Amino acid sequence: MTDLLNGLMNFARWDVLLVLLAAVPVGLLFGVLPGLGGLVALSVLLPLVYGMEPIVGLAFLLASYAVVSTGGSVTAILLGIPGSPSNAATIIDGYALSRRGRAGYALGAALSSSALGGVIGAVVLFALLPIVRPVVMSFGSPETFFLALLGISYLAMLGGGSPIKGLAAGALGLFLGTFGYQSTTGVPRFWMDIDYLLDGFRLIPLALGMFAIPEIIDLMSGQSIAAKRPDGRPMEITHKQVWLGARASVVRKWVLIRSSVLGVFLGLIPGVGSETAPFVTYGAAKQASKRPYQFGKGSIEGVIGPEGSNNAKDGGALVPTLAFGVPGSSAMVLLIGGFLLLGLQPGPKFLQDHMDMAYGLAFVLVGANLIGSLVLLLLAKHLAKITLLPGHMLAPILLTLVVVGAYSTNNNFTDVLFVFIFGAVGIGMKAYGFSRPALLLGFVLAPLLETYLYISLNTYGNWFFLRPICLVLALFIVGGAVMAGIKSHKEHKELKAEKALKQQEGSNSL
Amino acid sequence: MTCRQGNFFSAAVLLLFTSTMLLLAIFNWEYSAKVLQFPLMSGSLLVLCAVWLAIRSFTATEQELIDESEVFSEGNRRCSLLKRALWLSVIFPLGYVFGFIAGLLAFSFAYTGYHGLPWWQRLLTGFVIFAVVYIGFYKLLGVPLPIEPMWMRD
Repeated sequence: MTDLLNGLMNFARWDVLLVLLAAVPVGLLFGVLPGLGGLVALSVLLPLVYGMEPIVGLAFLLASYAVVSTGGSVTAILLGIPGSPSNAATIIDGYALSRRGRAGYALGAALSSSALGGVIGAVVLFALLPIVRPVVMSFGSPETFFLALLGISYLAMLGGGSPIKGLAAGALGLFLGTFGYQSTTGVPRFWMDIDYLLDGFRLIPLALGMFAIPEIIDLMSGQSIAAKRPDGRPMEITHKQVWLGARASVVRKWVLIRSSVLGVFLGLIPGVGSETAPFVTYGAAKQASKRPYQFGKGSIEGVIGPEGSNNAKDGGALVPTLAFGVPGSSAMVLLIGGFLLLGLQPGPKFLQDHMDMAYGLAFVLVGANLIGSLVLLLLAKHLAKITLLPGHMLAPILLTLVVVGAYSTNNNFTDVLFVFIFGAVGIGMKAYGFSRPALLLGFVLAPLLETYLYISLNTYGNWFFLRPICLVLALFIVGGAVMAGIKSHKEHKELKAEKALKQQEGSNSL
Repeated sequence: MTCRQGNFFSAAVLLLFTSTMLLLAIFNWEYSAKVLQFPLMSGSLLVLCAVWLAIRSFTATEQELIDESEVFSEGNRRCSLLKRALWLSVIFPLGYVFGFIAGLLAFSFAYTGYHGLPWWQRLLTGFVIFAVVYIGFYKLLGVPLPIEPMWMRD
């Protein structure tokens, strides 16, 4: 309790608050600009903390990192471009809402879900810090493999109208994810004597090409993003819409809580969380929804689900980072660098000696999420007006963002070329109804599945899946698939009955 | 191309791509079983899906296939899908040859001019692009972008 109070005192220091106010806009900017994301934000900001007091420097890094995905949701919803790969799942329904002239509503829901998800993540961090060891230690390679498998089980759910197309897209993602060096043996696969392919395909060009290029092609028709009223006037975007969206995430509290807790849980397991969590929670939200047929066409639950988990996973990823010095995500590696730069070594001894600082950082997470979302909520009405601009004006600007964003990740021109190659694939996938998020999820999960399957088989033998947590996760996977099957069958039947009824009504009126 | 033909074509491309890669991996690159295990698993799943999709493109009704697909917005004759794709294809060479500032600005002015945007919208678009590339990424964030033409780089 004393540590918690000291943590609050640490957070309430004027210099920490000041740094928080400076870091939040910087983090939002990194999120809004496509291709940059949390990893780039931390790598750019890391040298700046040198010489700062530890809690001030760490607050600066953590606050700027925590709001990156909040900023990314703005680009995803308004422009259909993922600010960072973790925002790709938000595009599905967020951008669909923007196209229907409801950008304000989608933004309100996304930002409030981000804030509340971030707070839930921090609360879990508060709760877990003292008792974290057995929780994280109970997750070995077999359990992590089953977690990745849980993600794969949502592939068909991401398929929209056709589950088989979702599965095919996911399988293509899994296959593309095997290109380049195999992590366990170091042998490069399918590289065709092209040096670029030695490291496999890169996530940022893939995400930008798959999502941004097809939307830009659409905008090149000259129409604005938002639909117009029947009389040809543009839709109005008001503060009321934004607040109604914010209210929606509170009204659908169980979607938010479930997604956030799932996000924290996935973030907790090193190497799993960052890009996977939003897709898994999107699939879970669709599976649990009473109106799954609205997903992909502008369901608000499809925005709340991924956005709730997007910020919550950071709280989860901080747990192994602080408690064991094991980075919970790739960006956390840089945060550990920040600790070292400031003369601290995260790990069990850090918690023993500096528990107050750990709690202080959890408060920073809460503060940054709330401030970041509040700032954007106040600006949302004005930001959403972007969707009213003519397509011919927006297209070159978005193309610039995509080209520069792709290049700046690795300072490599080949990445830009691959954006257009994946863009062509994305256009084809969009035209014939293949799920692009399913491809991305398969791509992200492929190395995890392969590596942990390999380690599990070699360490625990063929019966590794009989471990208790694995069995529980397997039950979740099978149960979820059965439930989804029953639901889809019921939905199909209802739709058929509805169609037949409409046809009958039509023939009666004739 | 009808929706049915498009669905069959996409299934055929998937099948061709995956089977070619797997055959090359087995017979040409001769990867060991340990290296090939996972690609073989995911590739086989993909081949099965592709075969299923190819069969389905004949068995499903045209309406079912149309319902699954998404239609791109239509514009006037200056915005046909082919012309849009052509515009996209010039970005990469322009950026590569003239650098990001000159290349992207040239694209912006040519594109907005072609579509007859008013002068102030053309200027505003150019200014935003300059601000994002030069001020935002290059100066503020310190991203080492190829501002100058690639042939002038060391």
